[in-house]
Amino acid sequence: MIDLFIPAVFFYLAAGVIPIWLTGIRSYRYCSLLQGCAGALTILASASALLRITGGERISFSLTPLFPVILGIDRLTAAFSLLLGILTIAVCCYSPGYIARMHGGRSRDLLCSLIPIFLTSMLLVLLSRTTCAFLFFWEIMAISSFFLVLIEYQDEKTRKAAFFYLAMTQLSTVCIFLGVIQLYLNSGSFEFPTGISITTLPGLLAFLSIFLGIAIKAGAIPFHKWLPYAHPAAASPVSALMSGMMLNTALYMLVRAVTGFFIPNITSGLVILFFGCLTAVLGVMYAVKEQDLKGLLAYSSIDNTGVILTGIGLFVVFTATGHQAIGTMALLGAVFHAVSHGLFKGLLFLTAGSVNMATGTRNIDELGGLLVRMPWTGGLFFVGVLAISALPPLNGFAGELLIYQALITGLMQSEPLMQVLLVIVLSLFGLTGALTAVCFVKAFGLTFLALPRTPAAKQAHEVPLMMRAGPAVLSIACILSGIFSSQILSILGYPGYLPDLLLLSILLIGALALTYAAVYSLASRETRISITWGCGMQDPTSKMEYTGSGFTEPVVRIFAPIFRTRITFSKEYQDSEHCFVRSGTARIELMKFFEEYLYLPVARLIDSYGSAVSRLQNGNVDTYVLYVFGAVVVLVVVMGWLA
Amino acid sequence: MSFTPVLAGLFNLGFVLLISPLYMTVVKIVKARAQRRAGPPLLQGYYNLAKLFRKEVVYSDYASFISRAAPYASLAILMVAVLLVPVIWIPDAAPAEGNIIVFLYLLAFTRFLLALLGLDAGSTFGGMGSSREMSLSAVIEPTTVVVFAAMAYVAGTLSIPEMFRHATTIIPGMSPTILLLSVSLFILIIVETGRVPVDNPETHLELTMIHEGMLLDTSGRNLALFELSHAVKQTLMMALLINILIPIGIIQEASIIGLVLAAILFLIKGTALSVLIGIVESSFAKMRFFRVPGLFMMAFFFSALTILSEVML
Repeated sequence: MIDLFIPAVFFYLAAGVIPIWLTGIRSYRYCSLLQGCAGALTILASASALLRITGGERISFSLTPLFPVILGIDRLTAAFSLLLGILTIAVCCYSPGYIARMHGGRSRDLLCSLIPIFLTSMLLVLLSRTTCAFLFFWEIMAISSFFLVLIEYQDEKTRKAAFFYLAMTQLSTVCIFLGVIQLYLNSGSFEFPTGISITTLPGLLAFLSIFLGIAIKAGAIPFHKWLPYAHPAAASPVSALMSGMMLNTALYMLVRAVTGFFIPNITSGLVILFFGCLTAVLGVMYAVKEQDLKGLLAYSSIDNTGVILTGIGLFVVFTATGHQAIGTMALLGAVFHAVSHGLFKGLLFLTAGSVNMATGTRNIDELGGLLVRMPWTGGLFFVGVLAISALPPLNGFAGELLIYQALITGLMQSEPLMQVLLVIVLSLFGLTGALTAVCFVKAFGLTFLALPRTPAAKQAHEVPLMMRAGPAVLSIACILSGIFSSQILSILGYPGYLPDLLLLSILLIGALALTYAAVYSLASRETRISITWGCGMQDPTSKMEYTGSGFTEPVVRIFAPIFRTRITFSKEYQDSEHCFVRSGTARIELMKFFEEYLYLPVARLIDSYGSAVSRLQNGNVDTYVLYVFGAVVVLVVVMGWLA
Repeated sequence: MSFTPVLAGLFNLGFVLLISPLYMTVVKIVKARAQRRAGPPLLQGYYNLAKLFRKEVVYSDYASFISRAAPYASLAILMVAVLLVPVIWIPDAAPAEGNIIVFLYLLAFTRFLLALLGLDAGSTFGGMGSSREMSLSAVIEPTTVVVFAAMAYVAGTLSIPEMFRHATTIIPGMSPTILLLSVSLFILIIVETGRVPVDNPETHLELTMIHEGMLLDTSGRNLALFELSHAVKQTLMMALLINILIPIGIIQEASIIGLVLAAILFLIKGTALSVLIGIVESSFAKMRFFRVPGLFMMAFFFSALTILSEVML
C-alpha cells in the first residue's frame, strides 16, 4: 500500500501548482479538491499500514544518482501519517473559505499553493528512511513553513516573528545536520542506523545534537520562544498545521531515534524527561496567563510537547532499567497523545481562526458571548476544550491516562531513588493537567460565554458551512478516537493497556438519560428567563464580568515565584526637590525570563561581535589589498613552516 | 457481564444517592450543636431537595446551553463515578476497571462544568467563584494525584475495588502507611467538598465564596441537581477513606442480607465520619484564600511520606 503515497504526493504537488495559473476563489476550490484526494489516499495508505501487525514496507529510488531516497512505512510512521491525512482533509475543507476572506491577492495565492507543499514535505519527512533524504525534506518543511508564517509580510510584527522563526528553525537544522554527520561516522551509511550506544563519545554527540534539533523544532522550553510569536502571526490553517503536525514530525523523529537509532540509556532518558517536565509545567503556566487566543493555544502546544516528551523520556528510562512493559505503556501514551494533540489542537486553531475572522480580534478580553452568535463554532471549540483538558472519554484523556498508568505502575516496581523521581514527575504531571483545565476554562468561558465585551464581538456572525465542516471532521475524530481508544489499541495489538472507555461513555449517556428522565417526570418543568441577578443593579453590563487577567490572578499569585513581575515607575515632579508629583505612570508586566536571560544575552554577544568584525569592512580598497597581502604572507609562512 | 454486577451496581448507586443528603445534614447538625444551636432536623437535606425540585428554574438572559446541560451532566458523571467506587459491595469487575485516574478525572469533569457554569451568566460572583475554584484545583491536583498514587502503591493496584479488597486483608490500625494515607485522604475530603478551612458552604459573602459563588445564578431543579451531586461527591470521597481505613463490613459475595447489613454498617461509619468532619469544621476558622495551598502541602507531605515509608518498611 505504500505505493499509494506516490499519487498522494503528486496530488499535493499538483494542488500546489494550480494557483500559479489560476487565480481567485475557483483555484482555491480546485486546490483543496486535489488536497482532499491526497489526504484521502494518505489516510487509506496509513490505515492499511497501521493494521498490519508486523514489519514495514519500503520502496527505494534515486532522484539523482547521488541522492538515494528510501521511503518506508511502518506502524509508527502510519500513526503520524494518518494524522496528517485527517488534518489535510480538515484544512482543505476549511481553507478556501478562510483564504477567500483574506486581504491581498498574491499572498492568498501563495498561501494556497504553499500549504500543499508544506504538507508534502511533512509527509516525506515521516516516510524518509535515509538520513540525507530526511534532512532534505526537513529543510523543505522549514523553509515552506517560514514563508507560510511570512504570508502577511506587510505587518511589522509578522516579519519579526517570521525571521525569528527562520533563525530558530535553521538552528534546528544545523543541529540535526551535525547529528546526521555523527550518525554517518558511527554507522557508515545514510540509512537509518540501529543500535548506537550513547556511552561512547560519538554516539553521545549524535544523540545530543539530534535531541537539540528536535527540541528546538518541537518547541521544548527553553527553545520555545519562536512558537508563541510564529503561531499567532500565521494564518489559522497554517497554525493548525504547524502546531498539529509540524511539532509532531519532530516528536516522531525523536520516537524513531530512541526506539531505533540509540540503545536506551538511563542518562538519555533522564535528559528527555527533564526537558519534558520543564516544558510541560512552564508551557502551561505561560498559557494560563496569555490573553491572545492563538497565543494561548501556542503556549498550550508547548505544554503538550512537554507531556509527549515526558512520555518518551519515561519510555527510555523504564526500558533502560528493564521494565519493558511499562516502557511500552509510556511510549504508547506518548504516541497516542501526540496524535490526539494534532487532532484537538488543529480543531482549536481552526475554530480560533473562525473567531478571529468573525470579530477581528484575538484578545480574549475583547470577546465574550460568542456562543449565542456562533453556536457551531462555539460547540466545536467546546469539544476541543474538553479533549485538551483531558476529560473522559475524549482522546486527550486516553493518552494522559496511559502516561499516568505508566508512572504509577513504574512507581510500584522501581528502586527507591527512581521512586522519588517518579513522585516528582507524577505531581508535576498532575499540576500540568489541572492548569490546562484552568487555561481552557478561561479560553472557552471568557470567549464564548456571558456578554460580549466589545461591539466587534456583539456583531459576530457564524462562519460559512465549509469552515465549520473542517473543524467538525477533527472533533468527530477526537470523540471517536477517545471513546474507542481501548478498542483501537487492542486492534493494534496492545490489549488491556487502557480501561474500556466505550463502556464508560455508554454509562455516561445512560446516566444522563436516566437523570433527565427522572427530573423531567418528577420535578417542576417551569422555566423563566430573567436578567442576571446583580445585587439590585438593574441592567448588568459586560463590565461586570470577570476578565481574563482577573480570572487567572489567583494562579499568578500562588505561583508568584514563577510568574515574576516587573514594576516600572516613571514620575514627573512639580518642583526641583522631587516632592510633588505632577504626573506619573506605573507599569506592571510579566518578566519574560528566557528572553531576558537566555536569548537577549546571546543576541547581544553576537551583535557586539558583529560590530567588532564590521570595523574590518571599511569599504576602502587599499585596506582590502592590505588584508590580501597579509593573508598571503601568513600563508607563505605557514606553508614554509609545515614543509 | 452477568446479571449480578449490574444489580449490585444499581443497588450501590441507589444507596449512595439515597444517603448522601443525610451526611450533609449530619455535618450541619454537628456544627449547630457546637455553636449551641439546635440545628436542622435530620431529614432537612431531603426536604430542601424536594422543595427545590418543585420550584421553577430561572435562567439568565445570556445563559447558553452550559447552564441548561451542566446540572444533568454533573450528576450523571458523578453517578458513573459511583459505579467505580464500591461502597458496600466489592464487585468482580467495575466499569473502566474502577481505575482511580478515571475516577479523578470524572471529578475534574464536574469541576470543569461547574466553573464554566459560573462564567455563563456573566455575573461577577460566578466569575470569582470559578476563578477561585480552578486556581485551587490547580494546586490540589498534584496532591490528589500523589495521594491516589500512594493508595495505588500501598495496594499494588490502580483499581479502586482491588484497593478495597487489599484493605480487607490487612489490619489497618497496625499499618502506619494506611494511617498516614488516611490523614491525606481526610484533607482531600475537606478540600474536594468545600469545607471550612478552604471554603465556607454556609455563607454568601464574597470574601469566602467559592462553591456557592458558582451556583449563585442557579435555581430550582438545576440547583437541586447540583446540591445532590455535591452530596454524592462527598459520600464518594468519604467511602474512599472509610473503605480503606475501616473496611470491616464491606462484603465481597452478593447476598441480600449481606448487602443490607453492609449498608447499615456503612451508614454508621459514614455518620461517624460526618460528625468528625463537623467537629473539624467548627474548630477551625476559614483560611485566607492564599493560605490554603499550605494545607495541600500537608496532604502532599503525608502522601509522599506514605510512599517513602512503604519503601523503607
